[in-house]
Order: sequence, then C-alpha cells, then structure tokens
Amino acid sequence: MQKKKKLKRKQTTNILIRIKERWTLILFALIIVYFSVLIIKGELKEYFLNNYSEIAKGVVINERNYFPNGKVSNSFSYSYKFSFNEYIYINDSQNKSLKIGDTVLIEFYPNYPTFNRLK
Amino acid sequence: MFNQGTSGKNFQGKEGKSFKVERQEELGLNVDMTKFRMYDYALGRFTSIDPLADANPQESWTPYQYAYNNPIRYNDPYGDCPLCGAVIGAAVDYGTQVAGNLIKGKSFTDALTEDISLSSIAISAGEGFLTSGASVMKKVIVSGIATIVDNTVEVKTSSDGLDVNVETNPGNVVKNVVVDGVSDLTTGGLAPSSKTVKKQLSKVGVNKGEITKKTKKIIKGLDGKVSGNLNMKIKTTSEKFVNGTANTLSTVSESAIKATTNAKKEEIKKKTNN
Repeated sequence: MQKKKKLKRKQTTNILIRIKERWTLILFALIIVYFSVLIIKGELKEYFLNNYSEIAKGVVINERNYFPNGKVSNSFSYSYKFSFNEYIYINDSQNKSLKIGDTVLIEFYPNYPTFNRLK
Repeated sequence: MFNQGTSGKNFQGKEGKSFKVERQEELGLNVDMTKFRMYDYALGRFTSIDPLADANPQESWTPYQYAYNNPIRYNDPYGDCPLCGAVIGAAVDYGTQVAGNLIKGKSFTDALTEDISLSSIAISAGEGFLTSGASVMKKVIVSGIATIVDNTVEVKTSSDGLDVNVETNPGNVVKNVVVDGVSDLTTGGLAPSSKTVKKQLSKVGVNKGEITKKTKKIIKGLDGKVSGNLNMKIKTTSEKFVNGTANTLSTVSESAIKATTNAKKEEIKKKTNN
C-alpha cells in the first residue's frame, strides 16, 4: 500500500515537473487553440447569421467596450441588450456612433441566441 | 567609414543571438571574424562575398559591402538582411492588432482590415529598422521616441475611411507613455524569452543536432552522399531553423499577451485622460 502511495506521489510530481519544464510550449499551444477557437467561432457566427437569422429589437446600455488599437482615440462602443425566450442577451455593438438608450435592430440565430449582431 | 571597425560591439543578430565580433590579432591581418566571413575594418569591406548575395538585390553593386556601406543607419550583423528589422517590426505590430480585433469579437475577415492603426505599424517598422542590432542605449532611446510619437498621432482604418487623431494635451502623452511602458514591461516579463523556448524545444527533440542527424539520414536513404560542404550547410540551416522557430514562438507569445491586454490598457488611458 505504502509503495503504491509513494509511486502515485512520484508520478504526480513527475507530471508537475514535466509541465513546469515545458510550460512555454504549453503556453504556445494554448495561444494557438485560443485563437483558432476565436476564428472558428467568428466564422460560424457569420454563417448562421447570414443564413438562419431572426430579428429582434434591442436597446443600447451603459456598458463600454474599448477598441484595442487606438492609442490616441481610446475609442469604445456601448453594449446592447435584447431578450428572447425570457432570457436577456448582452453583446458589444462595435459601433462608435450609438448612444445609451438608442433602440437598435438585432439579428440573432434562434437556436443559439448568443450569436447576435446589429442589423 | 575608414578605420571604423566593428570590434568590441555586441550585435543583436536577427536570430536573436548576441555575439561579440572577434578581432583577429595574432596574424597581424587586421580583420574581424564575424559569423560567416572576415571583415577588414581598415577597408570597411568584407573579404568574401555575402552568403545570400544571390537572394538580395545587392549583386548589382557589390556583395562585399556591409549594411549598404552605411553602418550607422543600418545594422546587419550576419551580413545578409539589413532591412529585416523593419519588415519584422511591421508584421508583429499588424499581427498583434489583428489578434486584438479577434478578441474584441470581430470575424476573421473584418479583423484583418477594420480598426487597424496604420501609424502604429509605420512606427513599429521604423523602430525595428533602427533597433535591429543596435546597442541597448540606442534601443531604449528609439523605443522611447517611438512610444511618444505613437501616443501623439494616430491614423486608423475605419468603415468611413481613415480616422486621424492627434493628442494635444502633453500631460496625457506623458501619462500614456508611462502606462505603455509599464504594460510592455509586464507583458515582456510574462512571455518566455527565445532562449527559454530554445531550451524547451531541445527537450522535445527540436534541436540542431537532431535535425542535422535526421536530414543526413534522409539524404543517405536516398542514396545521396553528404560531402563536407553539404554537411556544413545542413548544420547552419538547422541552427537557423531552431533559432528562427524559438524567436518566432517567443515573439508570438509576447504579442498574444499584449493583444489580450490592449483593450484594457486603452480603457485605463481614457479614464485617466484630462
């Protein structure tokens, strides 16, 4: 029993050491997976919204989302929210000209309403 | 650049490796030994041709020159690509911006073209061009100036065309430069250095020796002979491949970390602006 326990302990420490030794490669793999997921998700969203979308009314709310590449303009866009089947969905409008309280038309994919965008 | 010489200067090679040029003193030849060839510091010329003379459009004048005969403006420790720094600088900046757009939730095609800061790409290209192979002091000065300009003028793509913004409050510029500096130090510290990546790649079998061995095996398997010259070429290429891969992985990790924090950084800047 004790031997087994010792072996298990050894194995777990070995795995930890291996992870520690190769953390940069793991980090790099995670980065690749993360961006691949972002790209695939974006393309799927485009496809479903272009082909199977429904339209709902939404309202712009006071939640700011900053654009990443503007060192001087520090521009941002407000989020909008809309409800479908008693659930509320919030998303970044990505439109700098919208103001809080504006009513907007939103396209969404009814089977997975998290896929939504401004019409 | 008569009698200028290159000895005693630490060059930052394009493979990220710092090496010291050795001055050959024993034979009284008055030459410096660089990675691929000998440099006559009295003449300001290499004594043999550029190993990549055919690849670059420099054959038209002379493959014996060093950094387009202008070692103050250009720096090219390997003697094969004086303009690499600019191209790499621009590419890394653009990649970071595209990554930032993807994180913001844009589709891949939109991420490539929308909300891209052209001024930032141009500044990064200039910075890369001036700092590749430069001394630490020069690097610090050039990077400082680049960050100040970057925080003062901005030309950005948008759906209506180009957006031009200028920061007129000097207090904001100074404060934002400090925010950028602190953020760069943090992301630089989090990302693994190319040396660390190289070590870890070596552990999983991506190292100079392994690649050379396998390439030779393949050539021998195809009934080919590995001459001394070919052996040297395989070794140099393997070393370049390993160094290049380690450098790329390190840069990509740093850029990815930067891209994830950029939006938050802009939020902090906006909230603290006067």
